[in-house]
Amino acid sequence: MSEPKASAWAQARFTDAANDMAQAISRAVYQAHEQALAAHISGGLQSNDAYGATLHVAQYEQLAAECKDIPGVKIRKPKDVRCRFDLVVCEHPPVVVYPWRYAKDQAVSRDRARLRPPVSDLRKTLLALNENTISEQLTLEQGARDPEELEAELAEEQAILEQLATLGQVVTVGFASNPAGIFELGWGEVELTDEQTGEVIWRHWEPLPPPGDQTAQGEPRRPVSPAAGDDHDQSVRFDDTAPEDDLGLTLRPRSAEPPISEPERPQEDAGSDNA
Amino acid sequence: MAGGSRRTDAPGQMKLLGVEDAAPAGSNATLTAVAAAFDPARLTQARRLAGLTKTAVSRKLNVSAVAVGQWESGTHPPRPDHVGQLAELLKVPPAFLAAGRPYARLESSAAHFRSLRKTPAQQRARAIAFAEQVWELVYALEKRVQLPPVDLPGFAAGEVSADIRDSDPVRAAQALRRAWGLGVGPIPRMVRLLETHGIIVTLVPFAGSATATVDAFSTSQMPRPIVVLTPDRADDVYRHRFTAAHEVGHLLMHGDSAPGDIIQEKEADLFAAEFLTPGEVVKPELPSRMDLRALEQLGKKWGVSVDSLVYRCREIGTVSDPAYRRAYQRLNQLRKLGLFPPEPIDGYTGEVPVLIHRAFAMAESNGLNITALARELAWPLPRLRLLLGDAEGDSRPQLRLV
Repeated sequence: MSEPKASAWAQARFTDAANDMAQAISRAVYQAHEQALAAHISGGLQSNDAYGATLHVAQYEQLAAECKDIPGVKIRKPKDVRCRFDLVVCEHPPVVVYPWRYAKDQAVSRDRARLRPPVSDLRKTLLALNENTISEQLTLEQGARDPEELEAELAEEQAILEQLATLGQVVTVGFASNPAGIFELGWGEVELTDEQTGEVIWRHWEPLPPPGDQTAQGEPRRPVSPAAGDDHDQSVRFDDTAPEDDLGLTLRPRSAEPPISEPERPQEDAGSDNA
Repeated sequence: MAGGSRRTDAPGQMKLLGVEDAAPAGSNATLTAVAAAFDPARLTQARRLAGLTKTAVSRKLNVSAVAVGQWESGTHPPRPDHVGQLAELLKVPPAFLAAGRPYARLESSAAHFRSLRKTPAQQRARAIAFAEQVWELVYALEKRVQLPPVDLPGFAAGEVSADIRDSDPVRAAQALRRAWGLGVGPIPRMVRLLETHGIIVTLVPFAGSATATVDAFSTSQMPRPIVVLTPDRADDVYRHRFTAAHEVGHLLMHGDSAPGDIIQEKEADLFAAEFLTPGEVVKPELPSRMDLRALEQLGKKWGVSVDSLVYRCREIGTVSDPAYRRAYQRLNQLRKLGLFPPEPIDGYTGEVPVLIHRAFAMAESNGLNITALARELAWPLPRLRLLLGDAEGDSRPQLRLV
């Protein structure tokens, strides 16, 4: 079986690792499902609580385990946003992979799925990175502005958003599942449109095939090539020319005089009767 | 000196250490001697270093909180058996609790905390006690090795006089560049620059995993100015350098600290921006429109983050306010996530403090022994190792049983 070719969208995000990432993510989600299913069966519950709780943890653990050896991938925990789990991060270009089980049955379609409110700080912060287009609806204040000036400003804002996307993006791994199986699995770009209701828009979606449908696992990994146009390593770096400083440390004789931390200053003349 | 009191070596301590030489650290003779020479301030310091409240100590020792309060206020000294229990609980040798060693005391209000709001009071107290220990170590080393003299305009004996202090942040940064003969180019080694001017900089996990709750802080109210940077923030060399410059701004301009004061924090930020990227030279180098790639290269040349250059772009009006807000928000979100750190400080030797470590190495090569230094300071050995720059706190080879 020939290796499936990653889409242009996937290659733009994961460069040469796109195929490896697709396979690893698919394996991770299916393995997490299997783990959750085992918990469901051994728990013997009428409800899906054991399945859901196990899947919640297993999805992060399996993603980290499956992706960690792909060149260019790091496993990191967010710094100033509360998050229990490590996330999969690709460095060149900077992309973080975030799993979202958007539905527990087939009754809720992906397009209608919402994040459960209140939306966590982590989700708000992560998904804000996918805000790549400015709102088409003008504010009252904008409506009163000179159209040409406004157009130039909006174009500038849009250009900046596109540039900002190169500093960090989120690829959401979306899936719907319950103990009966995985109904849908894919990856794409989710934008949070309403923090109150948890409403989202899928800016992009691509299905991911189940692990068995892909090329044989364990193929040799290819190193990730440097990010396109990544020539800035040849630029001047702030510490290029500086020699290591000699701190001028010298030994002091052990003496009764306590050390002083500042340079000796000449004694000020306090006045004298001998003048 | 506001907030500080300094003591010198006293014969009592020498005598006490003599007792300890003859008797095991926890022996009755030692505990009785420590109880007789008990220093209430040392108990407070040890308790803060352990990150415990008085109530927590009282519960562990099965005494009343009032009793612990009395020990710390000096109204009643603890009994010898309580001294032993305190030492054990607070993980210090009993001799730590005795008077007589040089001690520069620092009040909580005398330090600028970068993120005061996020730093719990208990961790602030712990950080303050750490700064006191840093000075004690530096003083002990300074008795043996001549360190670079303090060269911070207006600083003398733990006070900053009204000189540069009263100027606005931009002028203060320009004045410091002039005073240190830096010209107007990039600063290749920010942390080393501070060390060569006699400022003590540390970068150790002084409060274990809780160190992450303390961003960075500084104080000019000790015999040497101290800047404490924390390893958790050292995964971004540009932020690390900016923080170091920010703290110098506090040292220079805010001798009468008002920790948490938003105006002082903003002033320190303005100082850092001007110190690292002098406006008159950097502004003409900025792209004529927002170009993050160009800013990234410029940031690399000057050793600053893209954020600070975006701010500069707004200052000169090459980006509109809405575009600036977009960029500012996104860059903030990226920093908050911390998933894409630009560059850790590892590859930048000039951004890692070395002064204390090198001073100790020089003293050691001339006969100072780490065990003797630990005993002189009355510190446990792992604590000394930590402050000397060994992140693990104990670098002894480990016996591995197979």
